[in-house]
Amino acid sequence: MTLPEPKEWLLDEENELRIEIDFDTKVKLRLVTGTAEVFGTELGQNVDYEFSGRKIAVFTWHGCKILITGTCSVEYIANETPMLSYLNTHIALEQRRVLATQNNKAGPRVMIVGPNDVGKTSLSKMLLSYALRQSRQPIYVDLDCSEGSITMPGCLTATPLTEMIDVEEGFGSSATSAPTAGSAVMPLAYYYGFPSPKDNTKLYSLLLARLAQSVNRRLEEDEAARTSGIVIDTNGLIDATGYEIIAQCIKAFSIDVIIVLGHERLYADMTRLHQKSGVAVIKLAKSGGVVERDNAFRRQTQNQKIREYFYGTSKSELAPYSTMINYHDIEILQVGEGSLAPSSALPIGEDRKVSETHVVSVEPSENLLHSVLAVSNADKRVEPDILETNLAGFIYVSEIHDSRKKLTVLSPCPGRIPKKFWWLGSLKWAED
Amino acid sequence: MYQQQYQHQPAQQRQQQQHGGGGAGAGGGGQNREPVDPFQARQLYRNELATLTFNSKPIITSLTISAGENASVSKVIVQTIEERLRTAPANQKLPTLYLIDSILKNVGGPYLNLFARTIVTLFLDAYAVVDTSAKASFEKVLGTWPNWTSQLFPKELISKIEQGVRSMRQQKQGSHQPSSSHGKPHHPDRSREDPYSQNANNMHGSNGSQNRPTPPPAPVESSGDNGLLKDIQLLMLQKQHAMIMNPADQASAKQVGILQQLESLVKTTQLTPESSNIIRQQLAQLWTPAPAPPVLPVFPQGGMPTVSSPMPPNMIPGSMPPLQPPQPPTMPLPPNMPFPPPHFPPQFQPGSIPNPHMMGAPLPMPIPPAGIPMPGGLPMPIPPRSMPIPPRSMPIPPRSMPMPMPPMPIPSMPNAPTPPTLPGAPAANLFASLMQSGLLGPNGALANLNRNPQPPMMGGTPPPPMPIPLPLVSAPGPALAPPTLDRADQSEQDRSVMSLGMIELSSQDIQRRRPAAIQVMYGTPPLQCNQCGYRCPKSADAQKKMDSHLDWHFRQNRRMKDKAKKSHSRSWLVGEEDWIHSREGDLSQSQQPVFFDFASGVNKTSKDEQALQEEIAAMKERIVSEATLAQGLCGNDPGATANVSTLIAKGCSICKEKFIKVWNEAEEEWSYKNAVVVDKMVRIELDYLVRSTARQAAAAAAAVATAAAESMSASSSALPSTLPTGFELTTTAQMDIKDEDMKEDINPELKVEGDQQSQALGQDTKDHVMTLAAAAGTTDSDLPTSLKRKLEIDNVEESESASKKSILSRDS
Repeated sequence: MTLPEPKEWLLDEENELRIEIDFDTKVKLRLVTGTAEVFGTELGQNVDYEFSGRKIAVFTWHGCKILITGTCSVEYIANETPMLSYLNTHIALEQRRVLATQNNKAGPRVMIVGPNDVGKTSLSKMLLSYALRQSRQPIYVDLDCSEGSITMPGCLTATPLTEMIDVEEGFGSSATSAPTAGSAVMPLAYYYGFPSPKDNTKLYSLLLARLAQSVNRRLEEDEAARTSGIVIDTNGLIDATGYEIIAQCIKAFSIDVIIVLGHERLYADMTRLHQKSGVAVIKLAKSGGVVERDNAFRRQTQNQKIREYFYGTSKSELAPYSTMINYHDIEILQVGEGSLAPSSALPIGEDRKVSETHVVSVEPSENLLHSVLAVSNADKRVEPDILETNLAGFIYVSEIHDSRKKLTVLSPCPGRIPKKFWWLGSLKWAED
Repeated sequence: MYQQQYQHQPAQQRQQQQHGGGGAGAGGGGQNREPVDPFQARQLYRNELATLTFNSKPIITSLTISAGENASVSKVIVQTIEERLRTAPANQKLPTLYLIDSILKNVGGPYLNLFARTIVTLFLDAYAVVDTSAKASFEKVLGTWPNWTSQLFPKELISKIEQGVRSMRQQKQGSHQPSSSHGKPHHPDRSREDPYSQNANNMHGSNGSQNRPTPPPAPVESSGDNGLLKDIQLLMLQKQHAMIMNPADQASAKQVGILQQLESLVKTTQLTPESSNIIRQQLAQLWTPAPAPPVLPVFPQGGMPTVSSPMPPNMIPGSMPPLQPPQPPTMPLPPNMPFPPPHFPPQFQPGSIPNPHMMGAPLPMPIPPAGIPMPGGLPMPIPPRSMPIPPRSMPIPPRSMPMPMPPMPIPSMPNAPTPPTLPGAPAANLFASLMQSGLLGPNGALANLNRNPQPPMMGGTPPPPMPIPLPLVSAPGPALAPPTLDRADQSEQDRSVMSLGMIELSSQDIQRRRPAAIQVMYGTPPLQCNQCGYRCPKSADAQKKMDSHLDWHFRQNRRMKDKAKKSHSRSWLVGEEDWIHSREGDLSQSQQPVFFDFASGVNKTSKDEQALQEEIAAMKERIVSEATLAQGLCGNDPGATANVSTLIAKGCSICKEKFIKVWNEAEEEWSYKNAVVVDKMVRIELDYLVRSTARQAAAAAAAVATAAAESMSASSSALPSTLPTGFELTTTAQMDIKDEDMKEDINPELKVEGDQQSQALGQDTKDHVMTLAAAAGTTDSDLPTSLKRKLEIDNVEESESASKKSILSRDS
């Protein structure tokens, strides 16, 4: 195969080069002259960055020349971007951090809300990146259970960031203390297991509260993080349930800045509902580069995430570990839904809501094949505590030996799998 | 006492440890004396404990001290240790037992009862799984318990353990084969364990009585200060080690001086608990400092009025104003500084607290750990009590001058009536900071001399202004430097952010164009990493930050390279509590959290150890040409080359192993594998590296001994008899060292020629340490920088090395 000729792009000041790369191709990007940044992280000159299955926006404040090797499915230069307002937002937040440091108070706690596909995650990344560039140590809270930018879909996570966000990996793939090439982050993850908060609102708010409690406790001790503040990425739910969750979130995390992205009505509502002393509500335009991600793309992203969890990226490969486990050594649990009895079968007076957080055991069977299970850190099955226990990681069921009552699982690292309680969600993955 | 000190030799590891984890130092150094957060204590202790994967005296010592300092959370610590002993791989249990033993014997107190509750099962469970040689060591440890000076455990308990051991041994006799003897890697085994385990045998041998810590000879009025005194002495020993190891280390030299004063201060006065706490805190801070970079604080332009030396010489003899760090009004210091430490003695001027960070928050801003210039001169708020030693009574020779016979202040006799003189120059710095903190009076004597009639000469007349040479190190008033830098750095960045004018968080204001905002992100003049585009915010210590950033790259790249050799995996996430109480530095860089230990069933050795082993293996392949050896052995004296080959043929002077002679094709000459010339002896390099620790220990012990026996002449032949008794039981290899090296060290005739060589040698050793550390650096965040810094200083000070030789031979 011959390498395609590198393509040269000249960008003027405050232009953005938007490229989309398919999952099965690899594209190398190199900044030749000038400055450029990808989601807030500055690119080094003459360093090759490799991407696959990503949609990237390379923005330049000063103008630059970029070389791209490989085929992109989409590539164009845009000269209208909301970057200026994003940067101003950062500066405004940074000023609050300065004041917070001086007065030993808490830094800004920002929540980004908006519908799906307006670039909430990209904006969080940018704001966090900017903060990191100024030696801050913010905490990134990801409440978007459908995406799982830090660990896996279905999780609510909080991650303290101290190193630069890797341009190639995003902050996705490290999430460990393993010595990978990228920055190592240690997220705190709680398992929700559904794509939308609507699927089990009670569980979602339970976990949200727990996550907020842990983050607040950490912030009490962690001075650098306290003054740097937090950035919360939410999921795109903006109906009545979504509003409830937003309100809960504001309270739980003591949010003082709400950024509404690309949605006028939501902005109006947020202003009306939450703008009071101490809480600022601002609206930002969505970037033209944000594209709607269809289900296929989301699905592929998800697969890529799972793959990366076990095998790492091409730049930093990881070695997962396959191990065989007896059925009786583990206990597979599931929350609510799948096990819900029809309402007519409920005892009289029993409230349906109760079973939303009901934990049921799942007998291991062929059904588990190709499932991604979350390993709980819990040691004992005590309800409802076990629901609120954070995760140790994930395993993938690669084989079922039903006759021998054993299953083969892929574990991220060598050794015994630390805990026996595993959550079953809806996540499946076909390992290639 | 000396045995005990020896036993507690704290060393490098500790420093590395503390560099590693930002806040992690707190636990080790016991910085927070006030209510210790049990979670945090557990976290810190566990992290440190996780490094105890092999027999390492320094780590054990450090952990013992930590345990002693954190007696308030003894329960947590005991739990942590028990957990460790239970979960550690079989080949790592022995060191943990040694730790328990060490805590029992040296700390005692609450630990006795706490361990007593579980010791029987704890001991026997561990005993059951360790291999035969470790079993023997277990038994030896056990053997020392019944007859210890104080009762460690009730007799029943010990006899229970003994019974258990006996029955297990009988079972074993049937199937004599030790089932679980882990094939320990040959080299690390030899290298790491020999010195200690022999030593340990010594420590724990049946005639352990020799090693009992005898109470310090000093008249101790208040038993409460005992611990403090011990701390001081330990610290002093550490500094002396540092000095001996690195003759150019002026920082340690002056710290030793100060510590001596402190020691006698503590001995002769009744300290209030509060003041001893303060001393402790200061001591804790002194533990860390590796000789720091002599960096003049570069203040941001306009931020700082040019202060050529923040500590003008006349400050010292002159009347003592509540010296404040020269803070320019423009420095945006927090208006309401939250830091006047509440526990300060009233004598303190709040203004004299040089640095808010230093006293206050347990977790200061993330200062790039390696970059802090901390030439030891932390202001030591010693409660102004009496001090028998008038500090500056002699003219100070310029530092670059080879101090002819600087009366090295090695432990003065507790009540020495004559004020020993100090090498003023090195100490001046520390003194200055003492004075700065308001502790020392204008004359450099302690502020309130009322209690002690000793130093009459310090009375009224201030001595003439001291000519402070103000060499690089002491110039910036280092005590002030770190905070100021940090603050300045912060403010420089903050200033540019704030100079844009407050941006209102409103949808309108957010849209306005502010060209300067871009400037904030892309600061002028750019200091940018060429590997990734990371840009250092313009600030005083930008270079340092960049250094540590590049170090990070270095480690990452190294890992990438290692990829082929060993695979990496994603690890499990930590529990909630650990997440809350840990900091990123601890988790991601300094070491694997203990949490992951359960996963270590497969790879039993820790990452550090692996790296170390690889490095050692790599080093093994080093070959050294005959010519180089000859040069090393004989210097430039051509006449002496004749017997070189016979010398080499004799093999290693330590282990007598013969050298492997190989033909080096590239250089076309005969070479020897792993040979190294050390003090005119040719050795197997590994031996040398490994023994050098022992050697330093020996040297330090000897130094202490020499000093203690001041009346004795320091002729080299007399030396061995002045060694502490416990010391005589060291290995033959160590005796070797002692006999050969030590004599050489102490014999003044050899001094001159030895000097140059040891200098080169020192450099050599440092390089090795560097590589070793770099290897370990895969798990330690900031080592490379700190070491580089250290090397820099060493180079700077090379010329003025008032070497260990002169120090040691001062009496002759």
